[in-house]
Order: sequence, then structure tokens, then C-alpha cells
Amino acid sequence: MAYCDFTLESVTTTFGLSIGDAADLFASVEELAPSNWLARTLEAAHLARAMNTEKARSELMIAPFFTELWLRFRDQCSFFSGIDFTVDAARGLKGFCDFILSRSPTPYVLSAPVAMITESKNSDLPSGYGQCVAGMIGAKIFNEQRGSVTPVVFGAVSTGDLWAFLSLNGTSLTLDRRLYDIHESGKILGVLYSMLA
Amino acid sequence: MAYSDFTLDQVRTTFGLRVSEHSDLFASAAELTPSPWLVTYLNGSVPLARAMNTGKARSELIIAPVLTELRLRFPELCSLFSGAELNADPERGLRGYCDFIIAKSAVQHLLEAPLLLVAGAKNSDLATGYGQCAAGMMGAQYFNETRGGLPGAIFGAVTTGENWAFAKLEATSLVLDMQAYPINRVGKILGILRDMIGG
Repeated sequence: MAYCDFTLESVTTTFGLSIGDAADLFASVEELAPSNWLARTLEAAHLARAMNTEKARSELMIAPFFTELWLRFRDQCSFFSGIDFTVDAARGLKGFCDFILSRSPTPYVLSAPVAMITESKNSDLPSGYGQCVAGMIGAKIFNEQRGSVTPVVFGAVSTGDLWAFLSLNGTSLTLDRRLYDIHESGKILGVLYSMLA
Repeated sequence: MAYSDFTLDQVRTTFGLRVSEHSDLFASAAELTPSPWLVTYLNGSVPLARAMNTGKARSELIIAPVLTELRLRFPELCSLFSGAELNADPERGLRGYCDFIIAKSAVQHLLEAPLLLVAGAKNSDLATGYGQCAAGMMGAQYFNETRGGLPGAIFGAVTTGENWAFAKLEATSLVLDMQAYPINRVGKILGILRDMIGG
């Protein structure tokens, strides 16, 4: 058992989560205008759409958002791509995570994870929820083990073209009914940045 | 058996290749100045990928941007494929996923002959990447032959992102370049790639 084996159903049952949804979880978050660099980078997104592989979508559509955050706010955050994040192997909280956003500025060693981001398989957004939530529980426990209680851990599932956000407050999981399109890059960037606050 | 299972020696014996080395295979390739976009990208992303030290980060933060620059600058001359499946000759093990493929075609929605370059990403050690890369080059050669692409050289690259090494396959002759190019010579790397696509 590892993060990627969880479904939304199995993760909520295993960890006793209550599940709810919100019409617009980040309605109050302001847009953060993308830099010229990010705007130029996302112009190449059509290449990933044509290639239509998860790897290309991750490289050309998802990773650039985190690189942008790091280029602009590297004293406030770091991110991790494809690292092994084993927290509680016995309960299946182990395995590789697509992206982890951290409130710590050092990219050498993970500390203070605030958001777990999952690339959805085959452009099927809901298929990524289980893995994402399992990672969020991993992050919550990871922080607790280090004495830094993070009240809320965030999550995102992305196909590259579409982003869906989630939040976990204690054992209360909230799915955002509002989805974001990559053309709303300023809003996506704003939401990700707000998670660092 | 798939591309990733091959060692260099297995590729040589399985396909009867003659392997040789060249002291400076791309000595004549003129540099191609990277765009300001790529310069900004790599200035931030290279140290970041080094810190994370995962193959995924190296692909996302260094290799993909360099190859994307090539496609963006020469959209009529090449197409780029990341994580594409190349099942050229499954019975002989020429199957599986290739980290990156560049084809000499403007079509971006599907692999079209002739394939020109197969690039393999490694997290640390370049030397261990040659087997998989050479097998991928064999797959590309077979793909071209069976799809009516013009027979010509196939190139290979083994890269950690920070370091790039190249190879060339012509018929059954595989030439390994003894040079390795660090990413701070991205102009030379781009120049080599441009020469490969005939830009």
C-alpha cells in the first residue's frame, strides 16, 4: 500500500475523514499576475496537450507554476518534485509524491510541507483525489511529528489543463467544486501562493 | 525486455553493433545563443533541480526546457515527445517509454518518421545511461526503416540535465562522443541539437 493506491473512498474510511465540499473555496484569494517568464512558458502548453502524456503535462504545464513561485518568493517557499515521502509505511503513507509545496525556503531537505499536488492519470481529474488526500494526511502527520502543527494542509489535483483544490482541517476534508482552467493562471498562482501564508 | 533493461554491451551483442569513440564528435557545431526565456528559466531551475536531486525534477527543470526551446525556435523542423511509448520491435526488446524523442517533423500530435534523437534522463551517473539510450536509438532506427523514413543517422543523448553526452548511430556503427557538455554551455548544447535537426 502506498499513496497512489488510495481511492477517495478508501482514504476517507481508513483515516476517518469527514468529507464535504465548498462552492468556491478560494473565492476571496486575489489573483497574482504571472511573470512574463511564466506567461511565455505556458505558451508552450499546447505542445504538452499534443503529446498528451502525463510526463509532458507535468513538465510543461504543472511544474512551471512551482518554479514561478520559487523564482519570485524563494525566501518564503520551496517545492519538491518526485521525492520519496515515507511518513507511516504501516498505514500506507509512503511512496513518491508528484509535487510538494513547502513553507521552508530550503529545497535540499523537506520541511514544513503545506500542500500536496497530484498529477491526475489520463487527464481524469477525480482519479487523483485519493492519492492527493493520502499525501495530505502524510503531510499533516509529518508536521505533527516535528512539533509544527499546521492547522490546514492543502491539496491540488491537476491534469495540467484543469486544477482542483482541496483542504484538510483536522479530519475535515473539503473539496472545492470550483475548478480552475490553465488560462486562469493568475488565479491558480494566487491560490498556491495563499497556501504559504 | 524493454529499452530500460539493456546494458550497452547487451545492445552491442544483441544487434551486432560496432562501438567506437570519437574525441569530439560535434567540434564543428556552432553555438546557438539561448533565448532570454531559457536563460531566466535555467538560472533559477538548475540549482533547484540539483537541490531536489530527483530524476523527475531534472527532467522538468532542465532537460524539458532545453528541448522545448529547440521546438519553439524551429517548429517547422522538429517535434518533441516526452514520455512517449516507442514500441518499434517488441520481440527484440525494442519497446517501452523514451524519456524524450525529437523527430524531424513539424507534426506534434504523433510520432512520425524520421526520428532523430532519443534522449535519456539519468539522475546521477551518465555512464549507466548508455545502454538504455542505445537501445532507444535502435528502436528509432527500426521505426524509421519500417515507416519509410529516409535512412540516416540517429542521435542519442544521455543527460542528468547538468551534464549532456551525445552518441550517433549510423547503420550498425555506434559512435560515442568523448565530450560531455555541462549545462552552463547551453549555447553549445543547443547548437549541437540545431545541427542534428538541420536548422
